[in-house]
Amino acid sequence: MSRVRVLLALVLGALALAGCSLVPTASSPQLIGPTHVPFGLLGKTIPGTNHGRVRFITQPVYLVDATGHLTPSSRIVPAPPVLESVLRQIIIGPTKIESFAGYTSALPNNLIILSASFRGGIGYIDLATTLSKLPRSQEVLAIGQLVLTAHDVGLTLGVQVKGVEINVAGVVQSSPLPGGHQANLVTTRDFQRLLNS
Amino acid sequence: MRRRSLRLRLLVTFGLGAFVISSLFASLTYVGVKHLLISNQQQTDLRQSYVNAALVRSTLYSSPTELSDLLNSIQKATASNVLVQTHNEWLARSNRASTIDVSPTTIKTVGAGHATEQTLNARGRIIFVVGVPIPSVETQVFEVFQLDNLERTLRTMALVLTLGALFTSIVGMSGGIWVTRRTVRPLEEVSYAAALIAEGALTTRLQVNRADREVQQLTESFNQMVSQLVLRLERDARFASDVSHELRSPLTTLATTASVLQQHREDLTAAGRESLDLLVADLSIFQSLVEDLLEMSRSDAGAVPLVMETVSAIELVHQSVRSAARRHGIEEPPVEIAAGVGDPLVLVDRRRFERVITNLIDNAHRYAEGAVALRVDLLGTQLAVNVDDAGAGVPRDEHDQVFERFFRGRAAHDRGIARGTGLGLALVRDHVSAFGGTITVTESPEGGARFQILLPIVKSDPS
Repeated sequence: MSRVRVLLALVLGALALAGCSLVPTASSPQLIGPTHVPFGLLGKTIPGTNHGRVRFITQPVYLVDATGHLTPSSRIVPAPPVLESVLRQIIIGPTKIESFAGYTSALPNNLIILSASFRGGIGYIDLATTLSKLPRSQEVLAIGQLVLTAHDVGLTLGVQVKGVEINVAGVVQSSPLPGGHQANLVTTRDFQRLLNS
Repeated sequence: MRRRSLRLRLLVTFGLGAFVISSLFASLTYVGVKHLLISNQQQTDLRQSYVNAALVRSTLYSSPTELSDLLNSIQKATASNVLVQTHNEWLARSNRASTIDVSPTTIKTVGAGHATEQTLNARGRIIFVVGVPIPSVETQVFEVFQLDNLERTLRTMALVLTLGALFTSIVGMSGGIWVTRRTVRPLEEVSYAAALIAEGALTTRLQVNRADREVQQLTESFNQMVSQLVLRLERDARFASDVSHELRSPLTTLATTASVLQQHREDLTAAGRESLDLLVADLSIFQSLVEDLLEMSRSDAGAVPLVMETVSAIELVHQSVRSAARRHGIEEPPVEIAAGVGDPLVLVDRRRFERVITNLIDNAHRYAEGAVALRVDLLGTQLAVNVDDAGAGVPRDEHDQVFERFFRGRAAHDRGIARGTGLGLALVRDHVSAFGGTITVTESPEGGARFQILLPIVKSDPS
């Protein structure tokens, strides 16, 4: 009887052992001493530069999806976001993964932004060339990308953007709207129908 | 209590020893290699995560939008998942990375500016999580390494070492069997030879093994001991024979003188006649004793060669019974041949066989109211000659002793009989053994003693 018990205990022990992890685990994280962390990773500044701390955020940018609608994506940018540099991200276009998913940008990738800023709740985007040379549908999508992205940058900066004015070399442009109208000051509401719901 | 077998003990010792040593070796190997493998793996992963964290920092500084691509490249290159957090929000992560793998404690600790490492079981997978804060870009990088391969390696190693330990144990046990056989066999041979010698085969000797010095010494010592013993026995037998022989002449003179006195007993007084009767009776016992002793000593010394011949067992039994009755002046006991016995042939010394039957009948006559019958039967491949007497039987505890020299049983004491020499049954056993047979005492169907002689049958004639 005792032999049977011993055998049973051995079998149960073996099974328990087989079920257990052979690599020891820890219930809580172990601290690594600062001296063991190389490359100055724990330093306040990036080695070799005199820059102070840099903070990054994810900023929404609007691209055209495979169905031809505007859809938000995100870009990591230094905080606080600068309108001009964020808009440059949509001119650069989609990432490889976004391209693989069918995302595009209606803005030509050789488009140059002369300046972009907010003043009195209005966003002013001054382009080097006009978008009117684009097919109308693409032009509408391109203006939608600029307006919606600028609106979200304003939100991040705490600016209530009432509208966006598109200029070309300092001259105000009348931008086409999805409904077929034209307007000098366009708002996000004008492009709501183009958003991918 | 039954003694444990030396063979078994040696076998268990070797097997257990091999098992313990191999298990110990396997355990030490496993613990050592496991520690080394885990330590190496974790050090490699740590170094890798530091390099990757530095890459994340430089990418964020130079081209932050490429961070996701970088994390996916790291995932492809190192098969690890990387997650980047800033101000409690996930900034980016590689495709297969899951935030569940990083515990809130780790996030909190790394967020507080401490680099951490932790091995944990996440949903049945063993992972190694390294968290590195990068204050210069206000982010925390978490890298999750899979340790499944290491776990598999350790399991394989444990299995191989276990099998190795088992194999070594089996090899050890096999070695134990070989050593045990080599060690115990000489002892068994000594035991077997000693048993043969005890049964009277005094020519038995061990073969001297030239392979092992110890065994050679043992066998040589044993053979020397047996030779010395045989010499001693022969010397004793010769002494007894010589003494008996020397006693015969004066005994014969005494017997002749007693016979002459018997012829003139009428001239003696009553006291003289009584003394003469006592003298004659004791002289008779003395003569019998000397005769038996002489025969036994000659037999022991091999002075009288065995004259073995193949004879008809039935005829020999009849002849022996007639001879015994005539010698002791008693009525012949009936000889009963069982049905189917036929006419078997046995290989015996005729004179000694007659002496066997004579002694048994004389024994029955002296101590057990005479022999009831001599019953001849077949017992397997042997011939059984049963001498059944009318006595009370031999007590069970004396069954073996009655064949010892000079043993006198309770029957002789109870009956106050002092005429026996105590050598008759011993002679019977010696002679039967010389024929290759055996003799035992049991109970007869009539309740008396049954002396059963078993002899090998040379040839059985059914007629």
